[in-house]
Amino acid sequence: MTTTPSFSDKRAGDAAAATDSLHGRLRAISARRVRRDLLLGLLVLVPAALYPLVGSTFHVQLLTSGLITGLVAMSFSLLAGFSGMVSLAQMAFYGIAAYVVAIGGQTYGLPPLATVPLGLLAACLLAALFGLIAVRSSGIYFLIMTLALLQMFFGVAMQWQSVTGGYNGISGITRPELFGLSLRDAVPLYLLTLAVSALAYVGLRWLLQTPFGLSLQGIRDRPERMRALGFRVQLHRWLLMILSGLVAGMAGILGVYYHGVVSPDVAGLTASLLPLLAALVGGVSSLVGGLLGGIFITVLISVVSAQMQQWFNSSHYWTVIGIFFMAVVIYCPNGVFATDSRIRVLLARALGRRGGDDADTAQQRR
Amino acid sequence: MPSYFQFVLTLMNGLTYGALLFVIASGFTLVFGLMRVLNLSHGAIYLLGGYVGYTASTTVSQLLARSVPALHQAAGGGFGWLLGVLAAAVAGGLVALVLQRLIRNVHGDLAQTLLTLGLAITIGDLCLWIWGGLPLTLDAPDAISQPVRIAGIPYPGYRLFVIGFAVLTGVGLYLLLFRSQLGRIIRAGVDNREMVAAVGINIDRLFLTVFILGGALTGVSGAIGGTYLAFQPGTDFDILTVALFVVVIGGLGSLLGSSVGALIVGLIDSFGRAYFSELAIFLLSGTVILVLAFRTQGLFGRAN
Amino acid sequence: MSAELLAVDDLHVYYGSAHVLQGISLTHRGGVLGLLGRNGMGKTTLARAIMGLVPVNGGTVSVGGRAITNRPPHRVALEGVGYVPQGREIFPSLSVHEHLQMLSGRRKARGGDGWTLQGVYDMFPRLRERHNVSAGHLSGGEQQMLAIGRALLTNPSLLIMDEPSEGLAPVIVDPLIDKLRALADSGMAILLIEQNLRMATAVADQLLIVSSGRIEASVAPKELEDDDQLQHDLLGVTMKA
Repeated sequence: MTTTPSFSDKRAGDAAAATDSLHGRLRAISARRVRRDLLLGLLVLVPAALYPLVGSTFHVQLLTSGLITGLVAMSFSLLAGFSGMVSLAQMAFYGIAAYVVAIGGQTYGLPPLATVPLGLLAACLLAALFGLIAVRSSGIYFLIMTLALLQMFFGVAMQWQSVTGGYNGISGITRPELFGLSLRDAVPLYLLTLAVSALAYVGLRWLLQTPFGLSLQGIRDRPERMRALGFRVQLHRWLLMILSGLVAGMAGILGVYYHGVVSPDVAGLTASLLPLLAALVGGVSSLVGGLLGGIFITVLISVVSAQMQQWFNSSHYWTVIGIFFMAVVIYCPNGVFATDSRIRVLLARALGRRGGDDADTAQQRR
Repeated sequence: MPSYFQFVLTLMNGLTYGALLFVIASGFTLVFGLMRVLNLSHGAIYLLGGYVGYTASTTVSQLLARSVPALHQAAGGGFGWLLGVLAAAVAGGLVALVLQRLIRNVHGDLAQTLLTLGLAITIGDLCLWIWGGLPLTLDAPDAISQPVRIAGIPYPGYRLFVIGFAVLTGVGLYLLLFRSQLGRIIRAGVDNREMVAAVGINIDRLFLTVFILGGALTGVSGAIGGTYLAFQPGTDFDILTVALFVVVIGGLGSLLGSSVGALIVGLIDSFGRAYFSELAIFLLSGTVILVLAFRTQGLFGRAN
Repeated sequence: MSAELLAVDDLHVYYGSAHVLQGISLTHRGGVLGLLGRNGMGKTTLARAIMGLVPVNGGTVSVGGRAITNRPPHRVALEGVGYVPQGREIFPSLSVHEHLQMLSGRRKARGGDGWTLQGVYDMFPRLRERHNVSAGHLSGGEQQMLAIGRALLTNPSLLIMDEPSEGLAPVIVDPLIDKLRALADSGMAILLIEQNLRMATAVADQLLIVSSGRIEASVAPKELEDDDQLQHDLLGVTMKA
């Protein structure tokens, strides 16, 4: 009996040492990756910031809208890719931030300096509340909980007419000034959106290589193991949920200024599909994939809606987008650019290279 | 006396809505219980059932009125309506068939559920494309729409029919699940799909059967519900929402849970609207949150 | 010699990057073939690969001369392979009677009368006593009887049993051994996967030793039973405590 405590102490010590050295190694790897990605990021960011010099207003607006969708997609990927929680509630966090800014500005005449922080706070609080309920479940049940919560938000936005304006929502929200530049123009709003997206991305990347972020990934892959090692799994998940609420809230504030209107539709099925699609296209295990996916989807919708108008004299591009979404789920479940994406496999085959083997092993791994 | 009148009417409305919700939710929960796929296109299939039922019933009624007016008169619109309900069943079953064929190509509960979201969006937009954005209802046949006096208050006969239909559906599903060979296999499949396959049962065909059954039932509920509740674009999301609330309160995969959950949601909705107007939604949301917070698996669900 | 009931040739199975079965070959021509080995050596994976429950990455499986490699499980079952899985895996929502009702008469036996519901009740009278009880409330031994009865009703020409003695008290294992022996004597071919040396040597006609995803040796039960050193070499255990 007397040997038991020392035995378990030794085991705990070993485990701690093992995780320490594992953390250290992972940290070194991800630190290297972060440096490489930052360099790549600058290579993308500088041309992106200069784009308005050559692009039309329409295209600048398209990019703005794409980045906003991309931010929500990133908040989705943060949960799905880094802790395995597939949340359909992200547009509720987007929505509450948008509503707070709209109601604060329109109903109470508050300045953006007050409404913007309030909006972000509201998104975090809502995420904290949803998280309390949802983090206890996982897998398909987590998805169901978040969908139920999204629908509650939709119902409140629709029926609490005296505050939310009901079906029509709140419109006529004017864009504020920032550093003397009026965000009413397309370019400053675009640059602001770009800056927020870049900061959110860098911030999250930094966070994911801290011990907090690394333990999150451990929890995703081996929840039981991590629990046994003494990590508070649900607390980690809950904090991550709040963080993702914050990111979606940022998108909501940019979105409400971009559109000038907010209605219950932001939390409808169609609106919720967009960031999901963006995240899926970009690959849910990648944060930057969400941003790129957002831009891709927005451009795609713009092209598809123009073509539907031209070919069928119809405004029903959602039919096409819905089918596209199904195709992505069936053919490229890990993103269009993932190794097992059938598009990539087909491309590789067309180029005469071996891509099929990669795809096969990836399939087996799942 | 008006308050008594209002109370009885609200109660009856709640029961009727709950009855419809039970029919809607039972297909939803049956498919989930067996396949662990949350069919997010459930509301869209309901809406499609309404539209197809509407088109079929109005077309048949018009044809009949023109060719055999005497029969049309005698049936009181019953033929058209009945055919509308049948057409809705076929439409719902067909969509379910397509969905099941698509789902076979996708692995994992979550990816399969996301696939149904894509289908929901597609169907919703196609319906808007074909039938436009105006609210529609089917005409109830004369035979079942005469007012009936309940506790001294006249109540639309069709709504009582809805309650009767729900009771029949419940009994039918009970007999199917607990008294038939197919039911034994379905319940075994809910417990353990792998072992059902390992004793020689084609699980793929079983899934298809249940999916089509659920789809047809949902299509029918679209036509029957669409006879007293107007439907329009957006109804798909509303129906998905209440169906989800019903099964989350009652417990996913449980038929008994669906019936209790449907009654709770129907009554809360009805009394909430009548007595609390715009705050009704907080009553319903609050109930769902309370259930989720204290009993994650719902009132009658099994712990997962 | 009769036709091969079961032929497994150079079977490979991977779980992710783990190479679980590393080229297993065996033939089963009737009687009781035992597969003996320690935990985690791939015995259960072999059973699941034959049943089509895990994908096979290389090699072939055939039953009665017909290839069944990577066929869906229900096809394998219809080819005449009955499966009593590890952990028994009965359906807790069904009563005992419903289990048997669900399967009786679904698959006709190749020649002969085949198993009936009453036949299973006659073999395990305990099940008849408990026929209305929900299977989830059965004891471990009763669940094992039910799992065997369930497999028999598919009228198999070969019965795969994965650790039937697992978790059962010795007092329950003994009658189980008698039942399996009687079943074998009636002509049922069995592939018996076991960790329990006593059960394996008592029931099997021939034993294959599995280690690290390979067949290590083939021995007669008597030979293994009498030779402590052999037991130790092959299994790292002996029958004597």
